[in-house]
Amino acid sequence: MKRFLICIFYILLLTGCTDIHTRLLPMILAVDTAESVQFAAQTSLEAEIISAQAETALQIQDALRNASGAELSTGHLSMLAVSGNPCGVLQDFFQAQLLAPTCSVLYVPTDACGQLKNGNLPEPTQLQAAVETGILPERTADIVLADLWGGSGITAVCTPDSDDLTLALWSSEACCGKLSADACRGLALLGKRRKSFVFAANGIAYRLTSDALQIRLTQNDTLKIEISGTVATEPPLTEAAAARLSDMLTAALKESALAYGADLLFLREHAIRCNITAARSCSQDEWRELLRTAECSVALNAQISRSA
Amino acid sequence: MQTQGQWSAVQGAAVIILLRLFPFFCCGVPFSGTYAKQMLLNAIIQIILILPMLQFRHRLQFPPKLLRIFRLCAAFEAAYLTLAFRRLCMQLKLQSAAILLLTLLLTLLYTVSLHDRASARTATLLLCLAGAGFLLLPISGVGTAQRVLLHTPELSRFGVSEWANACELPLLPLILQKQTESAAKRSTFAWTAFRILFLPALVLFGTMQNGRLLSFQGNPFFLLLARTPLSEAFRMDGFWILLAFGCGALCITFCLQTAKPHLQTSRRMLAAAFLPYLFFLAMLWMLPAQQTTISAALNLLFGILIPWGIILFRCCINRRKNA
Repeated sequence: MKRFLICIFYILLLTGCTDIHTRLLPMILAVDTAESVQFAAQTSLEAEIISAQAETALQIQDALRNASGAELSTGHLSMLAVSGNPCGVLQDFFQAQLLAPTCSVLYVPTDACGQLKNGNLPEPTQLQAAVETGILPERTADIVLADLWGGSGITAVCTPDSDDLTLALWSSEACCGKLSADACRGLALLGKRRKSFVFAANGIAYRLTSDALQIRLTQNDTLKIEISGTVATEPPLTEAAAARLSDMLTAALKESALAYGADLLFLREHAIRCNITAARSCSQDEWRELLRTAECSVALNAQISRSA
Repeated sequence: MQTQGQWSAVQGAAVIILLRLFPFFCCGVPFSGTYAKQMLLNAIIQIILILPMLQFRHRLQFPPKLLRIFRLCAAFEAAYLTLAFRRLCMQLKLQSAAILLLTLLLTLLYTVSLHDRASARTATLLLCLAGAGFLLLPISGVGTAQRVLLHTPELSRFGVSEWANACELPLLPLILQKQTESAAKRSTFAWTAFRILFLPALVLFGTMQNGRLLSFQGNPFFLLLARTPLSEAFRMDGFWILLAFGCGALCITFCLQTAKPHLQTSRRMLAAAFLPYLFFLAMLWMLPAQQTTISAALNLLFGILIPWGIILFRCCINRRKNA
């Protein structure tokens, strides 16, 4: 009995309970790396936004601790907004395990901290809704870094564009460009995380009910990227609607892979699957060049169009 | 027929499997298709070399001098697993790693003094918990798995790590002797299935999630868990951290219990297990680059070469006697 009571006592010590006031649990974190590194944290517990400054992004824990008196815990972080170079900050935070892989990332061209203070940043729920409705592909920290490390060295980060959200293409050092709304929808269509996908053609709204799209790569003289497959919609797909979907998919390929050599669709892995040996051994720069000189085609299944 | 003091098939299987599972939890090699292939290939080689040993299980009674060397090998495995435990703390960026290690050493002082059946029972419980956790993993990760990521290009960087992490190999002959013949066969069958089917499948599943994150410097298994939460409000990391550390403590305990000779006083017994353990710990600490190679070589020597040597030697003697 004595042993049992001792065990119970030690188990109580292992519960991990802590005073909530000694923890800083931000929902949104803004990092501005333009000149000196600035941080701003918005928590669900306190109305006021906590600001701090440091020499490097990795000093975030000490900087916010000094500013708030509480220890930073990023387990509940929903969104990281970065001004300056988002890839650098993201890599630092991810390797230091300061960031949950499923945290959304937003690139803000200027003054992320100021915009958070003024309430001008989109809410994390807005980003989530855009992903679930197929406006944007999911771009959480892990996906952004996976494309940067494993693709062609260019990744895409969500960014506000006037009143909408779009994707900015980033290499590890610089911003390459932005994608159009159609390209973002095309990428979302090829992604897996959307819950619904509604699009309009000739004034009629179509809801995607099922899709089986495939990416194939072939190489003769140049690399050829082909998207093909079947889609089913409600109401049934017409030629105009199929052309609209093709436009989105073509924009996705042309604006990311062909314009900048960005590999956001596991093109390299698809190329290896299709026995393109160059994809297996080439460097990221070489793969980027190969993509830039590639041709693309989209062929949605004609059977569906005819039956429709 | 199982007698008092003998291990059941489940207990034996649980200890052998956890001895392989814990180094897998601590392994820093990123999940990839190539890693899964290498893992499967090495597992097949090890199993081909180990399985026929079951036929000659009765001839694997080690002479006392050799048993002493095997005990030293068990102490080495305990030291290797302790450093794996420390590596896991570092990979998870735990701030209180030193306190955890100190607590582990204090825990070992108590657990090593227990009978090895206590380890076997605990192993069964831990294996059940791990099984329940593994059942939830595909449920949480099925929506995010990308099959095409199995083709992610990767340079093989793991070398002999599959042999170094096969800590169960030198202990396998000793564990099988604690069981009846049928129990030993069933345990070995479970271990074979775990090595050939389960671990490579788990790595492939991880590759379908983490495929492009090969440059991540932390723990690939815990990255997989962080990327596949059951829901936004419910994550399993805490459960797996506790389970991994529990497995670690159990495996080190079992190795030290094996390293402990049967002496009259418990103090002497503990000293005989802990002194070589602390020596090997210090040695491996000072040789971080050679840890993997030394462990791989010892696992091959004590897990395969010496047991087969004994079997062949006894077969020759028997033939001569019969002739």
